[in-house]
Amino acid sequence: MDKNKLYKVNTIAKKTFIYAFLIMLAIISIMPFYLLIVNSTMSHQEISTSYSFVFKDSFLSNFQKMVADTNNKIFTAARNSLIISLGTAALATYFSAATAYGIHMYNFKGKKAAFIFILTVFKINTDMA
Amino acid sequence: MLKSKNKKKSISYEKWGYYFIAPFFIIYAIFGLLPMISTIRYSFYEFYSEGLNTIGPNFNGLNNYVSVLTGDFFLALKNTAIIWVMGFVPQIIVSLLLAVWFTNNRLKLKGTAFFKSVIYMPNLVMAAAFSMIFFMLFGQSGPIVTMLSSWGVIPEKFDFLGKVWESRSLMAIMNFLMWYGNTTILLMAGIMGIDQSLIEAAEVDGASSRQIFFRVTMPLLKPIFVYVVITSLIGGIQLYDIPQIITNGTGSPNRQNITLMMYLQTLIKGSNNYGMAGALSVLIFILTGTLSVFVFRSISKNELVSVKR
Repeated sequence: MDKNKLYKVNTIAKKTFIYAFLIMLAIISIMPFYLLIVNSTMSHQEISTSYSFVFKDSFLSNFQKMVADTNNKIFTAARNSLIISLGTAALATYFSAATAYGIHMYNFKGKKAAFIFILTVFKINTDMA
Repeated sequence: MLKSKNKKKSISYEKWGYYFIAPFFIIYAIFGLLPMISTIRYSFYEFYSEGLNTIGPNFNGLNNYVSVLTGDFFLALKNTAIIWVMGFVPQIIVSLLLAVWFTNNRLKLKGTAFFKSVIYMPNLVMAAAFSMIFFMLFGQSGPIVTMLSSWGVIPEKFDFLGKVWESRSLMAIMNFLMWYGNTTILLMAGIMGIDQSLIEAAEVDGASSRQIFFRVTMPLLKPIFVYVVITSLIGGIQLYDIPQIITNGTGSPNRQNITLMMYLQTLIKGSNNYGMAGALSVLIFILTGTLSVFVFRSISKNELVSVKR
């Protein structure tokens, strides 16, 4: 009975510690996001001379400036990124699936070597080019 | 596979496998192998530009390697290693703890889904944006410096980025924050792959949670653990964007924060020195290649790789 109680107190203490630790990590992890959003609501002058943890009111004007900027067209840029990433995703999925299917379904000479080669290449990033 | 007597008569389709894997190898040859070969070739050539004139490519043997190795190579390697170790040690400890907690059936933590997604979030911010935020927070008149100096911990206008160990710690913290969620998820997957009945059996036998961790979980987690360590090491060798932005590309103070990749970048940016950059790339490639071999060994020991049918 007594031992049981002690165990309970122990788990509660442990859980409190774990939750405190997790909440601290969560705050630290969310902080950059929060600050990014806060920064987006500051005017150019405010951002270069000071800092803030609370929301300011220049978000709309910043947004309008971004949309109106004719040198860097935001929607064109977004569209370009989208085209490239969709193309990459489609090609990569198709050819990876084909390679995986070939490796898995067929038994041909040099299959194991090919597989090892693929794994090795995939771990060495292309910092050479 | 059919194992009938008339096997010889049946048509073999196995050759079709080559067509399936051919695209991978063709694409790799064009976009991976060819640039690599040309990099290796140029690493033996004198090839740079001085002003508007391009010098070379002239063959000059191992001279590039000598000048890279006598240049900043070891300094950059040391800096990279220091920043990586400072970030990785806390990262792996915290990740292990979190992974064990999240997968523990007895603790019954609430809201793990929330915490799991939150700790992964810093990885979604670009390293560049992340560095800019830290730049702001730890700037000479930034909130953290103001706060700490008002408490008397540090003098006023303390320059975090102008001091060697302070700026290194900042980068290590950033690396830690960006990658600990990822590591946690990998380790969690590893722990969940362990047979729960082993852990339950240890519990029934009266093992404490510490004993369970060190005697049951860790030995079984070892292959994944090694995988995580070495992939992180390979990533650490390629550490670039955080120090580049935090130090404005100079590796300040006093080049004590220049990493291998930044060194590579200065070689190319300054004088298009493809020869020396190639030599440096080859050295980095040898480093990562050796590490990859270890990764592969650790995976195949775990028998994740089963090519046999």
